[in-house]
Amino acid sequence: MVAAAQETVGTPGTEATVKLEVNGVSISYGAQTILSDVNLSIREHEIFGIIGPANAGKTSFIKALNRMDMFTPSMHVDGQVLIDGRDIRSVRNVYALRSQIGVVFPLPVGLPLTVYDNVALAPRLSGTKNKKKLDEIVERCLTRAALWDEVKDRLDSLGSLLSGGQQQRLTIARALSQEPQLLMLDEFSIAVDPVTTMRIEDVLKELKSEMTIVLVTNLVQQARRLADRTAFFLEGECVEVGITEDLFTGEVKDSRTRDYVEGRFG
Amino acid sequence: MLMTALLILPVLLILATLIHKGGSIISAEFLFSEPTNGMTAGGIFPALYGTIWLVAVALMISVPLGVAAALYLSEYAGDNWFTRIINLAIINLAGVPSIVHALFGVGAFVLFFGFGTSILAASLTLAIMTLPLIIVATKESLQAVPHAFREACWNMGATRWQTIRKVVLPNAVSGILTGVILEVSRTTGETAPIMFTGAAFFLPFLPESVFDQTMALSLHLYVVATQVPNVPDELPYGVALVLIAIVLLMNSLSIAFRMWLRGRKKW
Repeated sequence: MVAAAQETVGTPGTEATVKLEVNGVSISYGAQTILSDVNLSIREHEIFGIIGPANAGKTSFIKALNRMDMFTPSMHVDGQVLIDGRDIRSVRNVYALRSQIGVVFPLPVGLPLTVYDNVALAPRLSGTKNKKKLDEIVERCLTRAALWDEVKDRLDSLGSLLSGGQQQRLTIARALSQEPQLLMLDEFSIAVDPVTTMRIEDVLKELKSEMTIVLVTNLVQQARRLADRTAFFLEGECVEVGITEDLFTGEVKDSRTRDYVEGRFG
Repeated sequence: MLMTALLILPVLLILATLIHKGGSIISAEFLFSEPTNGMTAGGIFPALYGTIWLVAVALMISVPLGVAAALYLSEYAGDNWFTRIINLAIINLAGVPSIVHALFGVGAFVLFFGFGTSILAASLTLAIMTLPLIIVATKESLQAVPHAFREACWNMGATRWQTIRKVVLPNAVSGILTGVILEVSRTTGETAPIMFTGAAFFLPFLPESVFDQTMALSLHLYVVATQVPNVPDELPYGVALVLIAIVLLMNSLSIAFRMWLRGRKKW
């Protein structure tokens, strides 16, 4: 898109463009700083894991990336976030920016609309009215979220009445219907059974070829299974960023990371 | 349990008295004919008709205004001194005695805006008086819609207004309608605010536009009960029975409607 997007990062063996660059981002609520000075870059077509215990600032970090601070009066974000080399602070149409970023929450939010309308909402918001095209999008997104077979006969029933695991896949389908360049998942497996979790994980691995994925997770093993690189957040600090496998094999820069992934914390 | 029974007792007593003393007069003719013989006989049609006018016009004014105000307060306004003052004003507006509203209506609508004593002036007065009711009901039902729904929608790139249209309002409609029905029953019964602003003692004709005066049930009851000599006993009781029947009907409708909507609540 822009020249900066072509810039490559010199990690041996991997040549990739930077999708998202975070420079010195700090987040505070009122006088309380909950995340300070995060610097990292996320490459196109990678799954970028963010691990860390509660209160590490992971969710707020995700919120800052799609400028949801706009809807949270007390939230204040400092620093610079570049998506495709473009500062998101300078984006005039934040709604268009957000529509390119899919977000999945810890608890599934099936909107009180029909299954069909849930998935068709985002395309409709961006102006797609053609019924045939909408049908297509709905089927494609539900299929990719591994939900189509279970709901294809009841697209007209309420999305909020599906089971928890189904709702979470519905949320993912909804996020995919935005055709996002960036998909951010915030502890998506919290309300989902292990089998469904595995299915979603498989979906994510496939999606990687089409988009960049940021995966916030409490489950370090999930990060290990999925993430190419992982950042470890702890108490408002980004302790380290590294190739995921390195973090798990002990090649860490900070001993706290090793303690955390080995479950020896506290 | 006993206390609850005590609460129901007055309602039942009032109803029983009204039915006992006024039930005999209720008939289609009573409802649909005009008062005769200096209002000591005949029916109540002009008053019934006028009340419907007053309530309908009041609703047309207060519902859009009230819903818009509630939307602003709940979805747009931040928590600052300005919103707090507005909220305080709403609470105070709810506490103003209706006779004060009446005098305000005379000053503002009848005289200042020059509507004269008319349905418009009376309905505006009623609308202002019931505005807090609808604002509070709407605000509460808006706030009952989970915040997560809004966030999910915003995250998809929806604007605030798109979010309200697609997700928030459709899920708040039951509460808003309950507020509207409650407002109807309140407006039906009010006497003071319409007394000086648009309701007439007696009119030989039916209102044809909002600039006409009209008779109204509540005022008619006051008139036949206290102002007219030689009224047969059952007449005021009959009027009161019709009035209370309308209010009770509206309230039951509101309850039934709310139960129905709750039964199909979507989350």
